[in-house]
Amino acid sequence: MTAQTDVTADAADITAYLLAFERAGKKRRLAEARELAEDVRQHIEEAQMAGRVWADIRAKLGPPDALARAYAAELLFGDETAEGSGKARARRINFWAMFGLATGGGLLTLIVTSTLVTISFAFGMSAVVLFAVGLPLALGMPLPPDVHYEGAPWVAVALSPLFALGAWAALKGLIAYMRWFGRSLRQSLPGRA
Amino acid sequence: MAEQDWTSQMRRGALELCVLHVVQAEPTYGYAIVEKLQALGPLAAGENTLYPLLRRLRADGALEAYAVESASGPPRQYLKITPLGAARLENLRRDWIDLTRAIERCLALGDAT
Repeated sequence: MTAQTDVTADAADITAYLLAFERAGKKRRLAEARELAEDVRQHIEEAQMAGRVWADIRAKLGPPDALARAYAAELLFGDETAEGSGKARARRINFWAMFGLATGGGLLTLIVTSTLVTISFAFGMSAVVLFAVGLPLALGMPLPPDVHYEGAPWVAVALSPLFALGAWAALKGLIAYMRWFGRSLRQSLPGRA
Repeated sequence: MAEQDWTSQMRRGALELCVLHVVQAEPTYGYAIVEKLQALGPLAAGENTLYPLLRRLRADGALEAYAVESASGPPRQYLKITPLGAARLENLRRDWIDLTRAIERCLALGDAT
């Protein structure tokens, strides 16, 4: 009767131990906590079949939380080295992000930079020329013989700052694009996951 | 205390090599590995160290589990080494031999003078 009571008490204690282990495992983000608890149950049964008593087995296993911690430490260590780890996956994603930036981004950069540089240069030069031509005419000064302008002098002077504004806007856009591209490239470099 | 830590770390590192070797010699189950290592004195590992290690080796694909009917109770989960585990064991064994030889040479330095 006493032996029967002991076995029943042990079975209840083992179940409570495994439930506590499973809870601790879940708290430590062990996705397979239930499966691990089944593993531990099998190890306990093996030890019992070899003649060891539950109290002794429990003492060797340690508290459920400590055992869950040991599993988490081992399995996390395994993740760090395994190919399918979060870090390795992040590195692969980063590689493809970098590859995408280098190929698609390279073509886009060529189009954007050449367009903005052309606009900026052309508008800037036009602003300078319009101002250099319009101002002397507006002040009644003659233009050099090889420079011809047939419009009203004030139109040239008025258009000059508008062209300068266009050149400045294109330049600002170019700088903003280069900053964004540089930032994106840096973020996709290895070790930035 | 620091010496104890060092011994514990060293034993922990060597444990993976020994477990893979034991399983390669003969497919076996968790508790049998505990008993075999307990017989080797300093290599005796607690269940709370060994079972998580066995789980990791399975997760890494170095060991594979399969059920075997038992006459004295429920089916036992046996472990066998995989080709990946065998390759890992070979690397660990080579590293261990290199390391122990280097340490022996290092410890012999004082004797030569």
